Amino acid sequence: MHELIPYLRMLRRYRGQLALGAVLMLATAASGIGLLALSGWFITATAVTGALLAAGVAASLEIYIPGGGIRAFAVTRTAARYFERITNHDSVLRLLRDLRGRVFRRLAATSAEDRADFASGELLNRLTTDVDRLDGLFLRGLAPPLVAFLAILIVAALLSIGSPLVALPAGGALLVIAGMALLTAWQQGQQSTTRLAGAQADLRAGLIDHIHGLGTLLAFGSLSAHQRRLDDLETTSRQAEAGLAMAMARREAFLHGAVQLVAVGVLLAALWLFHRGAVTGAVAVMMPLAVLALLEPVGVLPGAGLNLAHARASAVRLDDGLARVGPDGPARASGDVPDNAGDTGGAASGPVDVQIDGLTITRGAGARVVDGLSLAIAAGEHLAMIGPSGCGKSTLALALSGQIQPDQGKITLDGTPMAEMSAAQRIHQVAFLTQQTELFSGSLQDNLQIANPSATDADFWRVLEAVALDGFARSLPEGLDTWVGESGTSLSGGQARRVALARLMLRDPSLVILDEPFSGLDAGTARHIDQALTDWLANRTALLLGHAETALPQADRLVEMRAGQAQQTTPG
Amino acid sequence: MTGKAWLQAQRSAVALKLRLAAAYGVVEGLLIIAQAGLIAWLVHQVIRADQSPHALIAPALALVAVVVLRPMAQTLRAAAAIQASDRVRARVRQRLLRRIEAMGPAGLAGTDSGELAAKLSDQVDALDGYFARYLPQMQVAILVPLAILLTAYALDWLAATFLLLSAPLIPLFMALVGMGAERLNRDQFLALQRLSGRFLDRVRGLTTLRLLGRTEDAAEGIIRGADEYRIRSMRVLRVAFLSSAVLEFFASVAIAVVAIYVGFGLLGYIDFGPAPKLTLFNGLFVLLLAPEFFQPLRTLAQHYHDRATALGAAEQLAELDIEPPAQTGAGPSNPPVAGQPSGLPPGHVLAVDSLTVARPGRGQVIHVPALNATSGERILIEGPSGSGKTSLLEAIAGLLPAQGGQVHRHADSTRALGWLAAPPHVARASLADNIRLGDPDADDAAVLAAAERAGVMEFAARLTAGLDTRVGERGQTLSGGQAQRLALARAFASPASLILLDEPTAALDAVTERYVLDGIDALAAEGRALIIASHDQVLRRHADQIYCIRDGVLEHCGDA
Repeated sequence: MHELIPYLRMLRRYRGQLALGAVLMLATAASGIGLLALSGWFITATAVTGALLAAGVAASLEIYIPGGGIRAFAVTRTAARYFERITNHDSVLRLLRDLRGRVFRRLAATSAEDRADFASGELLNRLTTDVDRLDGLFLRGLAPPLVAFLAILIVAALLSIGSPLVALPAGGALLVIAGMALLTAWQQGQQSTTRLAGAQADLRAGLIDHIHGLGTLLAFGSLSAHQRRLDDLETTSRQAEAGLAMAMARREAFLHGAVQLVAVGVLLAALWLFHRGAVTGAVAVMMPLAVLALLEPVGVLPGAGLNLAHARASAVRLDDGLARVGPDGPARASGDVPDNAGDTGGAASGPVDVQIDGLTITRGAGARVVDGLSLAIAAGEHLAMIGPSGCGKSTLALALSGQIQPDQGKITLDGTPMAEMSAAQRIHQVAFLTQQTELFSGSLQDNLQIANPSATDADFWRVLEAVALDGFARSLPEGLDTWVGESGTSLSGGQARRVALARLMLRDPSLVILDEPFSGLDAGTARHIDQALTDWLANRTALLLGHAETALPQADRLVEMRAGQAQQTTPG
Repeated sequence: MTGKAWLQAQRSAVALKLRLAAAYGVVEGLLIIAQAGLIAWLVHQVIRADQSPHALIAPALALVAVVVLRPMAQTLRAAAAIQASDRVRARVRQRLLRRIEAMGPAGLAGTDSGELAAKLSDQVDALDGYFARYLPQMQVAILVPLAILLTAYALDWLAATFLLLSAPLIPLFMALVGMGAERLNRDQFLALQRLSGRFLDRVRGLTTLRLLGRTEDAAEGIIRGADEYRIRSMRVLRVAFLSSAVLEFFASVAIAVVAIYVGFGLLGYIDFGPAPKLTLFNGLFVLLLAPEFFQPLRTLAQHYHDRATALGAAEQLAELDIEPPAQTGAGPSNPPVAGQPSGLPPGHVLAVDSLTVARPGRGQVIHVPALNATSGERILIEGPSGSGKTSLLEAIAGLLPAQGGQVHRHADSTRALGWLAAPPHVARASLADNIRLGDPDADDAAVLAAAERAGVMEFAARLTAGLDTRVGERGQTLSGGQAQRLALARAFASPASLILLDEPTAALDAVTERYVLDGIDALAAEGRALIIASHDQVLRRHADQIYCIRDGVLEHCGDA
């Protein structure tokens, strides 16, 4: 359980609201028990009194208090349930907010290399699933056992009106039954979540391989062999799922049966007590009905145990995923975390000169992607570096922008080693257009402003004109406020690239790295932007990366990247 | 086919299981009635008829038996429903997989295999709740309340009428509230969707945020967005929860009304209808049945979101689940690609005769008047990117149907062909399993030998698990060069007499390039024919014949 402790601590902030939610849950359960128990008491009492009256015996029964009680329980059960759901969903959403903020801050502290894993959809999806599971920790995992426990105490108290000799064993049996249901579900959850999650992930990986590698499988004649492998994975995954579902169904059925057996036992004991004259008929009927009403709060316990196990597994996975990457909380290990360093404005200090000495960067299974690379870029020089994709250009750019640490060698800007620069300095000096265009869902203006919070409307239109998007932006009914990205106006790849370029031009860096700046652009647009870029790049140092020289703006010098090293070629 | 119709169609395969599940549900309902009746009868006998509990051992045992049988029926019902869901999902997944295979690599070009795989795994699993819970419960929710109502009528028609009257009111009120919630949801939908996607969106763009130094802004934006999401969601939920409150309310009020009616009737305060004939037995019986009357509906309401989830998944799955169009272009003069040896001149591994290749959406890509390869021959096909080299290789491999002309390949076994794709395919499996894709029957020694020859061992030996190391997602990431060595090892492991290589030297480190070039020569020396598509001039030194693509036509450009 200790894995859940940090998340339980997060609950502390909302203890008032969570306590209210738990009280409302208990009120719902108590009203349900009260409604059924009091109704049983009432009709038995009336039956006895009615029989006496019919026999001509003077008898009377106070009917207004129990009648009012029945009506009150009926209303409070509904109202308590409604407000309980409202309160608890609000708590869940508040927790979700805190969790997302916390997970994001920790992810933000990771280096690009560690985060490379998260670029894949599967890990990202798992991350959100884990966050979603943890937000229900209290509502679906912790509160139900607490409420069930208190409900059993209430029922035991009602039973003790009849006889403590019935209340004690029945209450004890109910506690044992409820505890077992919770505990066994938790244990099974512990075992099955790892196995099930593993089986499902294997199946998904197998499916991706089958689809992505279809050509290879068909060509080599290995398709049927892979089909068999996939069938095995599918069967394993389904069996794990069905096995868990079946075990949970059995557990729930057992729980129901056990609680009802206790109710039957209480009924027989109460009837015997009545026969002995120890209790009234009304109390004797109330007793088993109170136990039967327990089915509702106790019935959710197996699910709660499973949810707790899931939450724990999610906490473990999240911590595993995040632990690799940096310390928890706001404490920062190094100057590597940029925070809002981009706020530091001020004019550029002019072009810098770049020295790269014996740079080696290893990735994956020990592949030297950059292998002892040495390179100098003079202040104000525009250097083009070409090479096929995967040759190490982008890795070099990540190192040059401080996003990954080299294994060997060093980079200096104007004589200052990169490693000694503060994050703020580095961000201020270096601008890097990544090969992958990353726009954010938000307005067009949001996407530009993110590069320079103090930019004005005039600045936005200036850079949009530079990338030949001003006409397009003006044609939009909502102009700069147009929502782009998911669930908004979808930009074409070329348009998105141009927004990324415009965003870059809102900044005032000393060193600019452009990775395939014109990818996705047609020749005409590329020429227009090339002109604007050349103006903007004047008086800045630039490293231009591309698969071919023709794909890049005009450069002063050209090098070719091959086998992790830079090779001088004749100027083109 | 709409999602709804598609979902409906999937039911036929498991109709029997679903009916069985519903039947067990009804049995369970009948046991509930029996249980209520036995409890009421025991109470009546002891409290009103002054019987000694000792005289009632038989009905008490019957009650115990009913209580024991109920969980059995419950378990059997769950088993049938779980099996139904399991069977539907297995069938759907198999069928969709065959559909995808039928599309072939050419038909799949441009689709995201991750997304497609997610559909086959997650979206198919999203059907679970609908088949395992919602569908069986739908029938139970009609039949069991009906049985309870009939029992209640037999006991006291006035009390039963209270139940009956509330029954149609429930769906009415729920629909009214539901409509309100839906309108609210529609108004908020866009905002909610945008807000809920913000977290993932910002995580995806973290590199850019870090480069711009804006991560703390983004974190605050996520928190602000999540808070706004909460406020807007709560607006919707406050109305949506009313619909379940309506159900709760009727269930509670029905118990209260029945209790008070029975109580006053037993006291003799009601002279109307059946009330004077009420006894403790039928009064208690009806009271115990009242909550059970609403319970199946409440359960159904809880499972209602399963239906919505399944419908959402069905929309996407129905799109995939269509008969592939009959492959066109393969005229009667065009024999199957895995041609008969008779079509091959002696000593030849491949003979291509006036082949025309077209790609869906691109039209005719390349025409090949003639291309022959003999055993041990290295043929280089040169041409700039986009000139149709890959399409030609796919057509030779039979992955892309030829529009005209003939391809004759040596058909001595199903494993007559090897393929080095660009970029190389790396399966999310162990290194050894990756190599075994070249020959699923290869033993460990053969795999190791292939790994040695292709230079895989050079990096695999440094990994603790060696060739058993998992690669790809959730495993070690391979560099481009390491992946190419893996693909080369696959070719070494394969018994293929013809090997097709697509841009084998693109994006390699110097060591891997050496392995690939030596590998090409070694494969040829083993007597295999190689077709290499590339624009890398280095390969000219490793080719026996060179072909070029000019204006969409493959021409012989010389012997090396």
